[in-house]
This record gives sequence, structure tokens and C-alpha cells, in this order.
Amino acid sequence: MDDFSRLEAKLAKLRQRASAPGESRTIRGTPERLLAAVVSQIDETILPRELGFTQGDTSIFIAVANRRLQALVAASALRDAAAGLVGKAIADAEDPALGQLRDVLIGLLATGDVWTISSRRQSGDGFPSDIGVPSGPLARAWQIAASGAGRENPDAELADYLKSLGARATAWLLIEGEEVKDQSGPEDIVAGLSNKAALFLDGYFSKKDMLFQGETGPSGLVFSGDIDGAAVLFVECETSMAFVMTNAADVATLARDWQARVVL
Amino acid sequence: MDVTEVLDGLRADVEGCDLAAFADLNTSMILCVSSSTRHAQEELDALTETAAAVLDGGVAEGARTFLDGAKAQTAITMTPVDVRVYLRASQSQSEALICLCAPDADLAKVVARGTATLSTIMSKA
Repeated sequence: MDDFSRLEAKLAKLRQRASAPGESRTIRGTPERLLAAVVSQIDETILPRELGFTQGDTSIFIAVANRRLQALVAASALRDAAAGLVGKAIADAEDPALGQLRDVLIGLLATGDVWTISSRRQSGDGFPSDIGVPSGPLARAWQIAASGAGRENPDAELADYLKSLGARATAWLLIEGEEVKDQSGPEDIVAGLSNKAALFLDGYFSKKDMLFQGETGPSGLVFSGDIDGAAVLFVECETSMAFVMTNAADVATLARDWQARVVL
Repeated sequence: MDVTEVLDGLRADVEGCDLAAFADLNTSMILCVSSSTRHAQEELDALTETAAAVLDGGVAEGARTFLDGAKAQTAITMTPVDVRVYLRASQSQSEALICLCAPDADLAKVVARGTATLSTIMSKA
């Protein structure tokens, strides 16, 4: 493990810099995918908050606390029936308002494919913390497709993915936290990979927010030279990251295989 | 066939490609864009900024260590919500192609078709 001490020391330093959250986050996709992202955002929200979703002149605000959707707070251009939902606490997953709210959100989310998420404290007294629908029952009520295993446990998915590469990878390095946990490939190439990783991470962490536009899920980067040259795939999950050396001809396929494990 | 039509052809061929843009890395400017939906100027600016970072900037410099010192011809950023493919015309040229695609897009096809598209555009320059 001595070969990796430089990389591990570098990671310990850089992770402190990377831990500051981005100020905003962007989501994109079809209305159904955007709705799934809204539910994911609810699932990540513990404190009482008003989550805002904005696209151009259109905006939606929902009250969320304790991973529960509590109410629609405000939204652009609501028709009369939908306007009745504003400020109305949603009792539970059986509340008819929940289905109406889904229709309202899908309708608004269909007006654009790129939305910015914001978060602010709930105004006024807010809602009681036990009011609302938890994210799990909410996903079922709104018929959100179950997340893939990779979305549920990306760290384990990454370890499994690396094991599946076999001869398609020249070498790979798996890092958990600040420690090199596993590796594969010829010893000299793995040692070289560790040194190169330490150099790469300096530039990566300083630009990470720009590269991924605030997206907090599993992320990846590919770099390749000429078609007959070398290529690298870098993947980062919650607490893990990996470097995979391969050739330029295969790297796009390897990257797609990883994406298949983690897309929403 | 003008550049816009070439980019339109790329998007038509590659399923899940929402945007294809021809850009100049030196000036960080989009020179021509083909898109299924309207994208705000700030988003286009962010794309060119990222293209410059991954093909020419600090991130690209770090990546050169993996490529035996060569500049990356291709860079890809991936998240669960989209993938972005950045292709450089050549080691000595500053023009690049940017593709914004669905997260499950066929990346090998995007790279192959994008490289051919960039060659076509550069041959007309």
C-alpha cells in the first residue's frame, strides 16, 4: 500500500476542498425523468424547506420536510382546479390531491427540459413535520420507475462494475474514501496509474462543479487520444472513485456500460 | 450543405442527441448549433467553458498524464441525467464539436458519428 501513499495523502487534502456543495443544481430530461428527479430531491431533504424548480418564467415550489412532500406552495400559470392545491397539506398517499399534484407537475415540467433546483426555508409556520407523503410511497403513488441498483448503492455497483471489466481494462484502481481498496493489472502500470491519478485530481476537484453542473449523482469522465492510443475512464460515486485504463477504441463502450448501471 | 444541416444530420442519426454544437475553444464561442429545444445562452456558454476545460484547460492537462502526454481528442462527462461528448478537430486546431445526449446514449456511436461530422465541417472550412 506504500505505493499509494502519495495518492491517499492528496485525496485527504482535496476532499476537504470538494466537500462544499454547489449553490444550485440543474436537472434535465423528459417530464417523467424530471418528476423522478423531483422525488429524488424530496428524498434528500430532511429539514423543512421549500424546493423550487425553475425554467425560464415557469417555476414550481413545494414544501418538503423529513423526506416528505407536504404541499404545493406556488406554481406558475395554474388553472382554477389546480390553484386549489396551493397551500393545501397533503395528508397521505391516499389523498386525491396527490394525483392531481402529479398531473400539475408533469404538465409544468413538460414546458422545458432543463430546470434549476433551489432551496429556501419554509415561510411562515410551515407544516407539521409528520404531514405529507414520504418519498418511498410517493414514488409508488406517482408510478416512478424503481431506481436501478446502481442508483441505490453506487459504491457497491462500482466495485462490481470493475470486477466485470476483465481483459477490457488494462488496469484499474478503486479508491474508497481516501484509501486505495482494490486494484487490477500489471504492478508497474497500477503504480503509474496511482501517480497519474494524484496529478489529475488537482485539476479535477477545482473544476468539478463546472463539469457536472451541480449534479450530485454518480459521475464520470472519459479522456482518449488517437483511436489507437490509450484512454482513461474516471468514475466517482458517493465515497468511491475509480480509474480505469483502457484503449481509445473500447472506452466509449465501457463508459456506456457504467451509465447503464446508474441512470435514473 | 451548410454547417447547421451537417449538425442536424448528426442529431438525426444519433438517438438521444439533444444538441450538437460546433465551437471554437480559443474564444469559447459556439459557432453553430443544432438543437431539439431552445437552450439558454448561459447554458451554451457553460458548454463551451466545459469544452475548453476538458480539451484544453486544467482538467485536460491532468488527463494528459494518462495519455502519454498527448492532448485528449475526445472527452466525455457523464451523470445520471445526461452525457456530454467533446471532440477536438485535431491536436493543432481549436475547433471542437459538442454533443449533449441522453444518459443512456450509445457513446461509441456518438463519438464515431461526431468525429465524422467534425471532419466534414472542417473539410468545408
